Amino acid sequence: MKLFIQNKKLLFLAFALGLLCPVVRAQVDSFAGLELYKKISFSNLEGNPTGVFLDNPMGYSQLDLNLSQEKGDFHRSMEGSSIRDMGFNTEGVALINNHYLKGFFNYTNRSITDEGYNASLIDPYRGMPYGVVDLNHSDWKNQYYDMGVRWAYPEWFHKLSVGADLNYQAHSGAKQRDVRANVRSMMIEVKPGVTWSFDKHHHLGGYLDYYAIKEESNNSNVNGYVSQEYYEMNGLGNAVQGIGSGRTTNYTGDNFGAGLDYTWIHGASKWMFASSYHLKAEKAEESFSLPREVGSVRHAIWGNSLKFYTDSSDDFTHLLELKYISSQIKGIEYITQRDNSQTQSGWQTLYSGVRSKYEKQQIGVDYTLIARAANDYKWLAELATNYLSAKDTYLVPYSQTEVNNWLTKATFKRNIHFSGVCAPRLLLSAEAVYNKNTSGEFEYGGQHPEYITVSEIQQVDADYLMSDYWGFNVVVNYSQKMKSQPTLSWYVNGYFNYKKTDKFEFNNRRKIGIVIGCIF
Amino acid sequence: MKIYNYCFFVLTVALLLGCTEYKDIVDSAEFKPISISVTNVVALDNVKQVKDMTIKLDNYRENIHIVKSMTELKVELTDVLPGLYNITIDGQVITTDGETFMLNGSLVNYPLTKDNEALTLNVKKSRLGDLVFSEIYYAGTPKYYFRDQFYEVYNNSTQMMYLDGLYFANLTPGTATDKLPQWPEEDGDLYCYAERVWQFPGSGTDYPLNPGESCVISQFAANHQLEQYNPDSPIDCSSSEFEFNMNNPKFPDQPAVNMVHVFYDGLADLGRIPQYLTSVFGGAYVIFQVPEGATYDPVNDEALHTLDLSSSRSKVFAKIPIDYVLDAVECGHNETKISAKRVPGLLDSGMTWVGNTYNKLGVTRKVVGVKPDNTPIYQDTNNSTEDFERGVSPMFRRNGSKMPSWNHTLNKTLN
Repeated sequence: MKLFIQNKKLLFLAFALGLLCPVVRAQVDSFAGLELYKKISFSNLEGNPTGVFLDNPMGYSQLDLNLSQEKGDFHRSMEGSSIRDMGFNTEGVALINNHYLKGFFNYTNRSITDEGYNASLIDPYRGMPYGVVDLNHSDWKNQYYDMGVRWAYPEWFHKLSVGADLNYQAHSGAKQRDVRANVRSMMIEVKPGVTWSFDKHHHLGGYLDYYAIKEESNNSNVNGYVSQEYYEMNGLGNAVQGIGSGRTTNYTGDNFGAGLDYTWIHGASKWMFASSYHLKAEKAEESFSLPREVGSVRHAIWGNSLKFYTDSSDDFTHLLELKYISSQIKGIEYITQRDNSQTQSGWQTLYSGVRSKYEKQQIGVDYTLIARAANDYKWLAELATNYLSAKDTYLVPYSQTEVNNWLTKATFKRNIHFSGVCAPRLLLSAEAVYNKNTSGEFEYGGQHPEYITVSEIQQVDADYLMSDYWGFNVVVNYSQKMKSQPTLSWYVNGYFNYKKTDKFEFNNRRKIGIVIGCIF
Repeated sequence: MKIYNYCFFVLTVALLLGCTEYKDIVDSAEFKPISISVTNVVALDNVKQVKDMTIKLDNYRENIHIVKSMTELKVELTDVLPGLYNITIDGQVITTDGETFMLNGSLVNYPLTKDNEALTLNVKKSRLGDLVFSEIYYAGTPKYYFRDQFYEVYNNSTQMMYLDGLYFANLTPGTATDKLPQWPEEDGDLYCYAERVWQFPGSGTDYPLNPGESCVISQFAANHQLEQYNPDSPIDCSSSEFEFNMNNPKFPDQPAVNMVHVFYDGLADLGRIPQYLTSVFGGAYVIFQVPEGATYDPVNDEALHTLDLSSSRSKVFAKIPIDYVLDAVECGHNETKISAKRVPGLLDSGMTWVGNTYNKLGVTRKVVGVKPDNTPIYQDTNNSTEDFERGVSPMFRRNGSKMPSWNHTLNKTLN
């Protein structure tokens, strides 16, 4: 794990900050309390690191271990038939001499069983169409390290808050059958931000966001005698067939983004409007020794949200969130030719152009009514609806996938407080989900309808995305404080998710998990 | 401070380069079809009649094929998707002497990326194929059995031909790859380059091949379906006329006549490799005939061998003048490997394939007619993508082609 060893200092810093809280007195002292705090925090919405000061920041530390298992055939074509996650998460916030410090460190060990086709990307649905797929469904062994720190300092000159986020991810994945894939990826992000407070009511913030990503995928065959059939994907089922042991692919990209937010606070009410724009350019190249440009993506994301919070009385809080997100990916393909002349200058790019587009628009409304208790809540009711319109197009020869889905969720949570020295609590949560596919189609106009990239990957994936389904999520959480140390609260969280469709090819997907953790 | 200055400089350069690449991606325009014009230059005299001339654009990577008839020497093509194309002009010419020639001109892997580009293509004559490869089996049998490779050569003409003294060779690179060798500039497009060259034995009239007859040359002319070899093999090669005997005691000399070894790595010796294995992904094969009065000695004649100038290895390859070639067939992994063609377009403007290795499949030439004696007439347009059926179970002498009378199995029966 050379990648991780190189960043040992950063890892240590994040881990240490994740457990930082003993420096200050814990203000969040229960699982439901922390959940509520995160729910009503505006800074979680707009991404500006200095926005934390508009949320009355509180110190806490959280540490948990988790285990989950997901199974069922209702999944995307390049997802596994079962996924088992094991991991631990830490997160901590401390306020030291007015400096806000937050750190988190998450680790997940994922075993995927029977994942289809994907042979080059840890997440084949991350918006990079230029991957390698093969015929052999395989297990994958993945590891995810995510860590980050946030620093913010309020009211320089009594007006200006400044801050920055620094995040780092290191992921690895390994496909277990020929064509093998050994994949590593990293992301490092820096996000400086400011908030200018005109007075106690009006606050204008902004931030810049830069991150660099890199993913490296090495294919090979353990059985060198059997050449494997594989496909170099270009999007929407278009692919070039190969025979052998795959390829080495190097993905590198940069993202530049910026966001603006305006907050108005009046008494117990708070409004915030946030808007952000991110533009990422990522290139896929084959081979390190003699690179050949395979494809690039230009990914623009424009996000807007409006959040309203008010306490209608001492007992009730209303939370309303409206959001609109537009994502547009343009897939650029290259025509390359190897220079076999005396100069031997490697692969020459002779032509490039945008050949595919992946557009997605999402609009959502989320209303939550919370019956408050002293440090957390008695019950919570939430109704959310989200409309998603996605259109993927391959320009020449023309192919398209179009999906329009309307997802509605209704959630009710009841937090039961029992009497006792240790303040035991039982949090019960039930959620019903219904997704209605209003329209959709997949149309392939390319040259190879017989390729698995069309018939088994793209068609099946489109069928999944065009599915009506219903589902429910049930969570049972028990928490209590330690008798000997009342500032420490431990909890056990069990959950079960179920999704069911009537679509012919699929049946259901279910997930069961347990989380054991503590807050102090 | 120097180290800080250096770091600052490297960081600045990296940032600038990164920004350039970022800008290139962000500013990319859309992929759009283009228009081109092709002017056809025919280098022929004594032309009496030209007929059936067509231009064909093949982009095998994307499976795009454009065919247009040519009524004059210039043609305009619109709505062509940018890409690498094999551009072929085919037609026939009848000379005042009454001879029929194929007209053939091609550009292999030519990048069509500029709108309104004007191309000029030289068209040359090539003789209609008399001796042709009618069947090739190179992929081998599970698991990893490759000794049953064979090549069948058929007399497609109406005249008896002697095999004596003809040559067989496989071209380099052995397996199709985008990294092609670099040959001496002065060679131009006059040669193809062989890794190993064999010659048919005989004093001149020992091995006649009548019209409709074929001969088989096997890597190892045994019955491969025997227990000691590989019962899964689709073929019994014991009736082959010839074999490439490499003096390997584990695979002893068979009754088939041995081909004469001519050249490998600059020498006439067989070398240390214990078998004549051509790539199971598919090689490029030629049969050629040296014109009367000329000599062909690639071992001793420095003008007939060369090195790959792009390689630091000192391996020597034999040069074969393309005018000598009677038939050439190029095989590869699949259609996408046409971008890695080894054979000049004049000899074979396409490629054929079976899609995988060790899959017991071969390629066989398409039949376009039947002779009065019910032997086949095979298609030969110098484009093996068009001329061959791909992925067939291999067999000897299919479609009614006949065994020559001197085949050792017939002689054994007579004796």
